[in-house]
Amino acid sequence: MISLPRILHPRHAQVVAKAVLWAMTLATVGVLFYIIYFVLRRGLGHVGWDFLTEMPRRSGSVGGIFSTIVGTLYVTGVGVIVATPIGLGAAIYLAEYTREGRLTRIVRFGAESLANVPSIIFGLFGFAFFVTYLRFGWSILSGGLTLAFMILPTIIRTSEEALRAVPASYREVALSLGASKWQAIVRVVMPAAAPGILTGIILGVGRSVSETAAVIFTSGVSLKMPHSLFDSTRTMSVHFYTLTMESISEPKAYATAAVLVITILLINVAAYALMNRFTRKFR
Amino acid sequence: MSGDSGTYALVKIAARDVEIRYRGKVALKPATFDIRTSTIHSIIGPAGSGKTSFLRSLNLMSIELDGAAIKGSIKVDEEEILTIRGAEKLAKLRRRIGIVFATPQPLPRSIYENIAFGPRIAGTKKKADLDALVEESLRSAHMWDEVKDRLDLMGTSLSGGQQQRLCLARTLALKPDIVLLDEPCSALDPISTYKIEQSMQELKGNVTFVLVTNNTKQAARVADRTAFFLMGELVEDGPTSKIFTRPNDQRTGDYIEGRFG
Amino acid sequence: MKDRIIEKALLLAALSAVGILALITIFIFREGLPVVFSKGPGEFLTGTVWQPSHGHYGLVPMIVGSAIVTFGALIIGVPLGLACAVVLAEMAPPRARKILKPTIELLAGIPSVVYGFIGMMILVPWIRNNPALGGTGSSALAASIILGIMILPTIIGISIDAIEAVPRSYREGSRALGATEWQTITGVILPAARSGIVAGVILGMGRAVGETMAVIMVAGNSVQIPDSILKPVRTLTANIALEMSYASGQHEQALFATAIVLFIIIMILNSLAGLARRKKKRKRKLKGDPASGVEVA
Repeated sequence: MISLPRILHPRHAQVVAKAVLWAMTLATVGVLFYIIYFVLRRGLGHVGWDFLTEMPRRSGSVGGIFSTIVGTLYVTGVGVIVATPIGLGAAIYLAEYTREGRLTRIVRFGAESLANVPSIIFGLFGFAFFVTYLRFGWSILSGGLTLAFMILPTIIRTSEEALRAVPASYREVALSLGASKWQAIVRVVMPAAAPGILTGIILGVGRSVSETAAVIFTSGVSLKMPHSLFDSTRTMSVHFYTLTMESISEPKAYATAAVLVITILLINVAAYALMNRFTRKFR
Repeated sequence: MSGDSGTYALVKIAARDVEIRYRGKVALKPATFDIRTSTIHSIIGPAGSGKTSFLRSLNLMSIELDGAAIKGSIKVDEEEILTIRGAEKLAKLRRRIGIVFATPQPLPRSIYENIAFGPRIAGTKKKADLDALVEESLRSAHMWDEVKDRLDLMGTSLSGGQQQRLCLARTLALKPDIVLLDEPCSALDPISTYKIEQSMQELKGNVTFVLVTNNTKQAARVADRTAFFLMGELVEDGPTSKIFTRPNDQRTGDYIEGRFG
Repeated sequence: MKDRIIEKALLLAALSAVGILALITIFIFREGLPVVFSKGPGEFLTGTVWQPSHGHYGLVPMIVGSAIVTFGALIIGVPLGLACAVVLAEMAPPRARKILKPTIELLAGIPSVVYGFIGMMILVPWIRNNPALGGTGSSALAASIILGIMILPTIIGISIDAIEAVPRSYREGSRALGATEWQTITGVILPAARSGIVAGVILGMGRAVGETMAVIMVAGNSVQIPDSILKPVRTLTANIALEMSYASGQHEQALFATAIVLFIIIMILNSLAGLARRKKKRKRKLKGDPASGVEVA
């Protein structure tokens, strides 16, 4: 038991302790707000419609970030399109078709371990497997597939939770009315779990947009406008990293950071709002 | 009190030595009795007697969902159902044998969609056909006038009694031969209870009802025949009037008189 | 028939996570093991000289770098994280919680490159210009601070879960015996949540060890065993990321070997965290029903 020196009456000790904890908490929250404030204050000034729609020129020191925005959309898109059916399928299997046992333990171990693998290892793997072994080269495809592997555990976890939250009676009723197990899942359970599932997908999108290490070694750094899945492209976060580390342009770096932060903020707000709607439905 | 006049009626469901176990533990010792066509057959008894286990076995839900192991034979229209396998056949069985659960469970959809759910899966596509089915089912459940202008209202926004009648209506939409009811009125007000009992009596010409109930008075009101289950055993089965006035078994009389519950 | 095919397809999807994990393991090892065998693991794990041009692949400076930075991150992250967790789980009124919780979850969403950027622009100059600290600014200290902030959401999230999982009866029993809220928290709840919190800390460690971009931007990245936290360090992750773009041949393989070391460390940490979690489950089973007789610590 943690005991403060006896000079302090327990109730006074409590006041002190609580004050300290609150201070630490508010400091933590303050740091977050400061980070956002700092980036936005210095960056927003340089963000305009032109910045978002113009192509980067001279390595990004002049012009905008349009090709990186497009690149980010493509790579994230591939990632989500590949990860969602697989993740959802896995979640449906875990929630609807098996009981807790050896198989589910193996699957969960796989998903949890995958969730903890550092992004640099994903980047390295993506390079060794997609770029080199499968000969996709540095491309949207390589980057997108690597991202898909990264966000798969998130989608599995949130989808499974969403499916399990659907009351068992829904399934029972559907079956009793002549639906097969799969029909019950598709027509009743999944629509009911949809907000939760969507939240997981949105979180996956957020993760993809912030990701740098995995993408830089698989999608490359080309600033050209990508036209096919096999084109190399630079995402916003990679562009931001390059601008910073190679000291290309501080204002552009701040501006790109601002765009990144606002994008993440919007994604998180969307996910949070959906999660709220979902839990309120089953309150 | 409705009674069976003793005239011979066809057997709809024939249960022979039906034994139900969950994980090895016996929920119902071998039970044998008949449920006759176009009757309301009630099953009474205290909690834990095996009534619900038996009921849910009639549409194989106890096996599929509750993990029950069943021995013996259950024949519906002389066809054995315990050997039915395969999603197709199970679905077909459940369209013939509908069920209303103890707590009203409307799907999170409109009234119309709740009722149209089963028929849609069964293949009915045309709007006109579905409309007709919805109206007919709601009329059978004595609900049409109440909700006919609000068919797109969410099923969950109805009152408890209305929800349960909705559940009955959506089961009827599939035109089943048999409807199982698992203590359907235990959470309902007397008026809703009355309306459901009325529906049963009106429809029994075409539908055989198997009614599990905790409420002996309800059994006395509506059932043609009654079976008494006690602690996992079928004690007695016979015409309702007889069960309630001159039962063969001492325990039956004790339960009905309320000497134990 | 169709239903059976669907079930098999779903099973395949479920196994995909494990399959991908296996695939990653195979490919990383495939690329990295040859050089480990030809040079011997000792070269990597005990060698202190990293000079690829001369065939020296000693990882010790990087292992030390990762270790220092990770423990530094824990020193900052654990107290702050626990404090926030206790506040959010026990002390904050519901309305405050509604604002605070998503805010902290937002911390987790900020890209690591932005954290690194902030570190570069604010923290590093501050360290450099601070009379009590000094140095070039890009240092183990800077990396520890940034990482400490980055692992907060992990620690907070899992600690909150662990605290909320403590049965109500523990709290009520403790208060009924006259303990103050604070005494209840420190004497009953935190000890009871200990395994969960430990699991969270271990996972936070894993995140710190695995972090790349932010560290590269503030840690200095020189290959040397530092003698003070104000000196620059290079972590295992930075080693891989910095040199991958121009490495080839055996050098490239050595980077994969670095990844193998990193991978093994992460897997060990994961298993430890899993063990901590399971210990909690077993403890609760042995204690039996907590509501039947409360014994306060």
